Amino acid sequence: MVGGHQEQFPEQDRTSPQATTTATTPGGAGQPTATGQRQLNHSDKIRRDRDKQVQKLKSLLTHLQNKLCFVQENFSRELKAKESKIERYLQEIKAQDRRILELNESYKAEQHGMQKQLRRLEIKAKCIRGLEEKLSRQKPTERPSELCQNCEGKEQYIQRLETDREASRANHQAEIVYERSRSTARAKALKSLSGKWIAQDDSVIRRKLESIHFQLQQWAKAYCIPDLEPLRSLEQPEHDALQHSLLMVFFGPNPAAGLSQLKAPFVFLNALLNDNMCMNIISKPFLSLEEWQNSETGETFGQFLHEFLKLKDTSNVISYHNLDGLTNDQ
Amino acid sequence: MLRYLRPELRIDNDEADDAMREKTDEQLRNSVTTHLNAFLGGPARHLLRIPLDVETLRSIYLEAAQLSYQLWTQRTVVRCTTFRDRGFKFDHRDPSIKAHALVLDEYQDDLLGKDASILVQPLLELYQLDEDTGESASKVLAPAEVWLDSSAQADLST
Repeated sequence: MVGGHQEQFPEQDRTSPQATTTATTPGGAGQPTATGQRQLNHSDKIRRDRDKQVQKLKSLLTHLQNKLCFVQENFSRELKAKESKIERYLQEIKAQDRRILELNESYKAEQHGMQKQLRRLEIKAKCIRGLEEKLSRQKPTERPSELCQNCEGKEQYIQRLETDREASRANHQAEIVYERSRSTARAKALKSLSGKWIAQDDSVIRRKLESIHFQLQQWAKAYCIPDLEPLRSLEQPEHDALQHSLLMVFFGPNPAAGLSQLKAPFVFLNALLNDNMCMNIISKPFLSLEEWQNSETGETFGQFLHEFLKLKDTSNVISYHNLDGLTNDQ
Repeated sequence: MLRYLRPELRIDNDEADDAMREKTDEQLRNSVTTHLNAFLGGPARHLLRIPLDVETLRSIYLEAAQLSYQLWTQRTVVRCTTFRDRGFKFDHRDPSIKAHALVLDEYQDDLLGKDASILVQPLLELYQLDEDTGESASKVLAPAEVWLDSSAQADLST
C-alpha cells in the first residue's frame, strides 16, 4: 500500500521525508505506523483538493477569457455599426444644410423680384395719377359744340386709359401669380432633390459596401463550423444539395485545393453569404415589392417586374428608367 | 416609382407619405427576412454552428437592402457578376479583382492570369447612362474577392 502511494505521488516522498521517517517504527523494518499512515492519507487528500481547485480556477480563467473575447468582438462590431450610422446621419444633415442654403437663396431671389415689380407698379400708378390730375386741370375753353365733341373724345380717352390701366393691373397680377407659382415649383423641385435623392458620392457607397462585407465576414467567422468533419456524415441528398449551392461560388475541378481544413468552412460560408446577398438583395430593385402578391395568379409584383425587365442585361438601363417614368405618369 | 414608394423623410411630409414610406420599409424588412430564412434553412445550414445570432445577420442584410434601394432610385443599374456569368482571371493590378486575405501576398505576381477557384465576393458594378452620348458607363463599387491556391508557389519557392 505504501509502495502504491510512493508510485502514485513520488514527489511527496521527496519533499517531506520527515513524514516517512516519523511514520516508521523506531527499531522496525521500515513499515509505517498507523499515525504515519493517517498523516500520509491526510496530506494526499489536501494535495488532491488543491489540484482540483487549481483545475477549477484554470477552467474558470479560460471561460472568462473566452467570454471577454466574445464581448470584445461584439462591442467592436456594434461600435462599427454605430459609426456607420453616425456617418449616414451626418451626411443627411449636410444634405439638409445644403437644401436650407438653396432655399434661402431662392427666397432672397424671389423677394428681390417682388420688390422690383412693386417699384414698377408704383411708377405706373404714379403715371396714371398724373394723367388723371392733368385731365382734371384742363379747363373747358372750347365752344359748346366743340366742347361736347372734346368731352366725348376725352371720355373715350379716359375710358381707354382706364381699360389700359385695368389690363396693365391684370397683367401685373398674372405676372405676380406666375412668379409665385414658379418660385413655389422651384422650391418644391429643390426639396425633392434634397436628402436621399441626391446621388451619393461613389466613395461613400464603396465605404458602406466595404463595411457590409466586413460585417458579413465577421459573422461568418463567428458562426461557421470549426472544420469540414461534420460534412462527412451528411446523407447523400443533403451532401449533393450543399455541393450544388457551392458550385455557384466554385470554379474549376478542385477549387478548394490548398485551402486548410480549418479555414475552408469560413471561406465557403462567407462566399455563400456574399453570393446570396448580392443575387437576392443588392441586385434586385423591386425587392420591397416581392411580398405584394397577386391574389389571382399568386405571382408577386416584384417577380413580375424582375422578369419583365431582365435586369441582368445592362443595355436595359434606358428601358428600366423609362418604365419608371411610365409608371409615374399612369 | 421607387422614389414614389419610399418618399424621403422631410419636415413637410404628409401622413400619406409617412404611411407609404413605413409600408415600403416593412415590405423591405419582410423580403429580407424571407430571403435570409431561405438561406439559413437551405443547404448552407450545414456550414453553420448553432446557436446563431440571426438578428445581427438580419441587420447586415437590411443595411445592404437600404443601400441597394438608394442606388436603384438613381438613374443607374447595379450589376452583380459571379461565376454564373464568367470566370475570373487573377490580376492584382486590375481594380475589379482582389485576392482573399488567405492568399499569400508575396506570390501574387506568380498567380497572374490564373483562374480564380472560389469567388468569395461577387463583383459589384454601377452602370450609369451618359445622357449626352447615350452610352452607359460602368464603375466598380466592390471588386470581386477571389481565392486561388498559392501553396504551390510557396512550395516551389521553398
